Parts: sequence; structure tokens; C-alpha cells
Amino acid sequence: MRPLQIDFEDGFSGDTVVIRADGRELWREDDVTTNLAASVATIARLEVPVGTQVEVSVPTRQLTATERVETPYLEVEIAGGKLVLRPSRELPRHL
Amino acid sequence: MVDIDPTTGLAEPELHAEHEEGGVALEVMPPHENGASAAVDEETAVAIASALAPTIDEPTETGDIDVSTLSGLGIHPLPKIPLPLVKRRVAGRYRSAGAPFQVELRVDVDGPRPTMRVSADYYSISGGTINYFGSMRVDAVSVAVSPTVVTITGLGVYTWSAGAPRVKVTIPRMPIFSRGGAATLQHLTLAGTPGATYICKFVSPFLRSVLFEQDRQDTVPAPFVSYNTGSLPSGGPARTLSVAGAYAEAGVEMQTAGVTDVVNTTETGANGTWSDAELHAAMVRHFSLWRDIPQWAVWLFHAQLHDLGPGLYGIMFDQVGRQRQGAAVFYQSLAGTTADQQRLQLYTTTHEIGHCFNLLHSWQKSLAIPPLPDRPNALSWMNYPWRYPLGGAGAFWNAFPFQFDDQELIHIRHAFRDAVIMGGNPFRVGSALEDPEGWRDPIEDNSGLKLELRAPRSFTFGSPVSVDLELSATDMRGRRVPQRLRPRNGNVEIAIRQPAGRVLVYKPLLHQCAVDDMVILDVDTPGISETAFVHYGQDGFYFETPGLYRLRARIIAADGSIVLSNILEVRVQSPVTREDDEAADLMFGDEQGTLMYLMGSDFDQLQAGNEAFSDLQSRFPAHPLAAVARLVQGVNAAREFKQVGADNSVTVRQPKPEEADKLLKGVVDLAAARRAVGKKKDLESIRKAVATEIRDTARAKVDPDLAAYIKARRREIAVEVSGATE
Repeated sequence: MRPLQIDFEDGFSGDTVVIRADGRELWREDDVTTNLAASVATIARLEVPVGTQVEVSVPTRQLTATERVETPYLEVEIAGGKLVLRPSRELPRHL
Repeated sequence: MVDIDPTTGLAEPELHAEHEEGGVALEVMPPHENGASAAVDEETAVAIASALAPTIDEPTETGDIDVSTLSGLGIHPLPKIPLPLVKRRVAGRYRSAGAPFQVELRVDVDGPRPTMRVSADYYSISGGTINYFGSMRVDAVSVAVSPTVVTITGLGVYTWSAGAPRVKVTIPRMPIFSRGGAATLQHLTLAGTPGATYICKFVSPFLRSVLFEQDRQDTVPAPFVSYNTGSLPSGGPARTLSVAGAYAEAGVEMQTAGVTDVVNTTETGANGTWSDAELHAAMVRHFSLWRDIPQWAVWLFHAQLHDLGPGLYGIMFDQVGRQRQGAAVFYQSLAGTTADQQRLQLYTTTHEIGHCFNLLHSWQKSLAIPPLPDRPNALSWMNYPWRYPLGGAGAFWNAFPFQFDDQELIHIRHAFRDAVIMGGNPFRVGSALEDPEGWRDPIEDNSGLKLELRAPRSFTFGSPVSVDLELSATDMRGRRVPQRLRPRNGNVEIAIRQPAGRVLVYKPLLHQCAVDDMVILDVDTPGISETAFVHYGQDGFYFETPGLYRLRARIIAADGSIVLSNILEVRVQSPVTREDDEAADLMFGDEQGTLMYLMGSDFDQLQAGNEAFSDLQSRFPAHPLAAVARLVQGVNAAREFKQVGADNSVTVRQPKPEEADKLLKGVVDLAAARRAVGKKKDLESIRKAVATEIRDTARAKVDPDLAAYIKARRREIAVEVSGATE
């Protein structure tokens, strides 16, 4: 198991977000909204198996995306109507 | 309502005691009435005020310089007239004295990074009180320079319908070591007839002045002070910059003020980190200048760590009530003395204060209300270096000159007051000054969409105003649009120009967050339509006096196209009889407005509204407005109403169908509505069918303006009268 931080960034407005790995729901939060003064909506901190396939879904918009994550951080945003996942080796920064 | 105009008809200006140069007293502005900002969304005021105003045929001697013809945002250098080095610049802030109006004038034609604009804020003086009246800005100035005087002329845009909108500013050229000369601000009508004149004494070379207080958490021993921009490669000249220095370069004087506090970590609560709510509480407690009014004062808190963790370097946390008065930066990640760390501290502190000036991130200008194009490539304090598309952080830092971009500079210096002042507009509202074209007809429209606005020609005074919207495709290849064409979903904006010239954008009382289902407009679905209730919202009543109103609607299409409707004229009739007057009087009250918005309520704090509606029905049963009251109370009687007590107990008032039927008789054809249920089984189909029936029969049954209100609220009515439940 390794720690994984997932930053939900731009594009969220009153959404529900769900994180699954290996088909199992690991985390869920409702009413997720991007704070435009910092470009971050919420941050999830999980423990996941190494090399696991992580699925992020936004059921309020019928969006889902998956990524095999081998980095400690994952940035998530909704852009152009799509859910975009960006693995990152560096701590995502917001101001 | 605007029945006085600071641009017209003043007597000879009175001269009072001189202002001290460079010193700016904190102005005490009483809160606006009705709990809502009296200021106007700048985008609306700028463009609707001209777009909706009656057309003016008189020619002007200088010509109306159409902003849309300016290249970009028109940073044009002054003509190269040899200015003797012995004369001082005229750029800066000037202030008039006297009554009934005073003006703070900003001249920006020859200072550092001139934006070639003048702007002004007007204050009305009444006895011992000063109230902000409105703002003006000239986006396209003509400047004439002689050896003795600088003359600046142009057509102003105002937050009200100004009778003498043209301005001429005359400033004597003074020797460099002299005090700045007084500026004469003369207003003229479009025909050139002189209006009001103000003698504005020179106050400061800065265009704005803000009181700046900084406090620190006890675990932050060394808050940021300054950074030498030449320490690492950059895009501008090397100089030592503090936050105050960065803003001085933008034309803003950040005056150190207040009492410096050390904030105890215990104020973070048990977890030792700051939530936004805890930051707000700390601000109220420690910001010695904090007040619940708009004021030019800002708080910067040097803190340790936010709840979101070390990735959050800073945040403008103040997004509650009177917003944008404070920001925080976090030293868990920012602390350090290396050049990189000091550079990041400067960047973060200046960036967060930029949010307090109502600036959005460079790549999110389209999220301003109203929106503008994003500028992700901007070399600006408001970008994220690591998001820079043209090479990332390294490329950004190498090119960044440590300044705001040109459009942000214009906003900071010249936006209408409430779009900038701390505690003014909420964050995002009016945050994008730069393009006044948002409400004017586009030069070219390839959106493939057409938006139409319709309503009955006139409304009874006091009757709820509702308007029809229709969005259709002009390009049958298909255009993607939101399915819900309603202000409360944020998908359409409706600007309203009131008879006295005040311009407002309708703000619904409640914002309905819904999944943005999209629909394709094409041959099969050529259009969508909706009826919107625009009578009462966050600004109170939008149609509170008889007279002629002008409305315009706007949507932002999926591709960013701004689609404007026709300009709709709607007349609110004057009361004819005493009965009309008294009946209308019973319709105006915040409780009544809220009840009309919600289609009724048992809530005890709205009791005064229900009493007024009952009074209306008993005293004036045949008056058209009584039908509105019956509709609102009838729909409420038809619903089950739950009240939650202070002890979280729930009381359920059962529907009262007999009372509902009695009230709604003659207003809604209940029999037809219930027949529409037919053999439908699912709730959604039932309610949709009933809503459609209500809309269709309303036209035949009641007055047109009441029919419009019923159409606007048909879904809410259908939910209650269909008898269908989950």
C-alpha cells in the first residue's frame, strides 16, 4: 500500500465525486465545489495498492476516468466537459 | 432611484480647505439600503446603459470613439510631444470638495504604464453623511498637451444614466518640484452643452490608496518582507519589491495601517490548521480596521498551515458577507530565505491580495461575472507559474516582469468602485472590467443561435413581471446549449434598465444547482423556450416604480459565443385609481416578494407578506392583483409544508385541498390540469403534462401579465396541484 493524494481542482460545482480502486469504493464526497480563489475543491488522501487502477467518477455529471497511478499525487479537473486525470510526482500547489 | 445627476446643473463649485497631499482619510460609507449593494454590475452598467438608452442622433465634435475599434485594450502611448523635464506628470488622484457632490478623479495618461484613461467616483453629501453615488470611466481619451496645460477629453461611461456624459479634464502643468495643480473636471452633454464642473485638488500620484494591515501567527516568526527581483533571471528590471512595492507599480498606494497582532495557534482549534471559517473569524478578531462595509482596507495574514495541507500556499478566504477583505499565506511550504523561496513568498502574497482586488486567475477570466476570454499565457501575478503553457515554471519565471497584465491594471485602477473595493461586489462579480462589449451588439455573430425576449407590453403596477425567452438555432447543423434556460440555473442573464436609468442584472433569490444537461438545437429541435420570473430577487424588487423599462437577455454558448437578445421594452402602468394604488402597496414588501418567488410559504418570518396578501383579497377582491395573492396562497395551501423547529422536531402541515381549490378557482383551471394527468403513471410525466396544461390554459383565462407569472411558475404549481406524489 502507498499513500495517494488526489486534488480535485477546477471545474467542480456542487458535484459528488467517488474514488474506486479494484472495484471497491474508497472515498466519496458530496457538494464538491471549486474555490476559485485557490483553484481547489477538495483533497482526498488515501492508501492504495502499488500500481492500482484508480477510477474517479463524478456521477452528478456522468463522468468517469481511470488511471493506473504510480505517482504519489493525482490532479483531477473537469475541463471541456471531460474529467481529466494528471498523475504528478510533485505536490500539487494552489494559491 | 436616480433623480439627481452629478454631471448636470451644479452651481459654481465651492472651494474648501486643501486636502493634504498623500494623506487619505478612511471614508466612512454607510451600508447600502435593503441589504443589497446599490452598485451596479459594471459590465451591465457600461454596456446596457448605452445599449438600452434611447438613441442619440446629435453629432459630437470629437466623435464617439467606439471601444470596439480600439486595438486590443488600447494602451496607446502619449504623443511624442517634447515635455520639458522641469514639468511634473499630471497622473494621479484628485479630489473635489463641497456639496452636494464630491468627486475623486483618477488621471492615468502619463504615469508608469499609463492605461490612457480617466475615471472617477462620485459621492453625494447630505448633511453629515457621505454616500457613494456612482462611478465613471473614459476608456478612449484624447490628450492635448501645451506648455502650460494638459487637456483630456472623452465620452464617459457611468453607473447611472448621466445627462452630461462627456468629460473635459484640464490640468495645469506645474514645475516638477511644485505641488500638483488642481484638475478641472467639466461635464458636457452629447451636444456639447456644459454640465457640472468640479475643481479637484491634487491628492496623490497614486490612483488608489488602500490601508494595509498584516498580522502573523505565533509560529511564523519571519513573515515575508521583500525580494530583489534581480536575484534570479526574470523578465523585468531588477528591483527590490515588497507587496506594497508591487502594488505601487500598479498605481496603488498600500498604506501600512492598523495594529499588528500575533495570532495564537489555539485559534485554529484542535487540529492546529486553519479552515476558511477560522481564518474569517481570526480576521474579524484581529484585523483592527475590519468593518462590515465596503472600504479600501485589506488584511494579510501570515499563517502556518491550512486544513487542505501544505499544497495550499495561500488563499483569499473571505468569500462570506462583505467579501475580499482578507487573505492568508501559509509558511509550512513558503518559509525560507533562498532566492526561490523569497520569490515565491512575494508572488504568493501579491497574488492573494490581487484576489482581494477581485482579480481571478489568468486562465479563469471566463468565470468572471460577466465572463471574458481566459488569458492562460499571461505573465501576471495572477497566473500559476507551473501552469504556464509556454514552457512551464522555468519559462514563466524567465519572462515574468513582476507585474499585472494590462487588463488587470485597468481593472485595479479604473473599474467601477464596487467591482474593486474590498467588501464591495462578491468575488468574481465585475472582476473583468476590460471588455464593455459584453452587452453591446457584436460586430460579427457566427454563434448560430438567436435569443428572443418577449413579454406583455405592460404590467399592472405591483403585478409580478415575467418574461418569455426563446433560444433557437440559426445554423441547423446543430448547436449545443443548456437545456434549462433560466436565471436561477445561471444559464441566462437578464439586464434591466429602470426608468430612472439604473441598470441591474436580475439576480434570482435562490440559485438552483443542477446538472447542466445539454441539448442540441438542430432541424429536429429548432429551439427551446422558457418563462422567467424577474420581478423580485437578491436586489429586491426590480420593477418597483411605474415607467418604461428596457430589458436584454444574454447567454454564453458552449463555444463561448455571447448571444444577446433583442431589447425589450416593458411598461409598468401607473396606478389609475386610489384602489390601484392601495392594492399595489400591499404587493411591495420583501416578505411578499419572497412569497411570490417561492409560490407561497408557511414560514413565520414571511407572515407579514401573507397578511398583506390576505388583506388585499378581502379589501380588493376584484382587483387583478388579488388574483396574484390567491394564486400564491392557493398553491401553498395545496402543498404539504414541513417546518423544522429549533429542537430539530419536524411539524407537517397537511395539504388543504378545499382551501386551495377555493383560492385557485378562476386563476388556474384545476379541472383541466387534473384531466391532463390522464393515464400517466410516472411522476415526471404527470407533472410535465399538468405544467403544460396550466401554461396553455392560463393564456385564455387570466390577464396577460398574470398569465406570464403562471407560465413562469407552472412547474411549481403543477407539483402541488397535480395530486401526484412520490
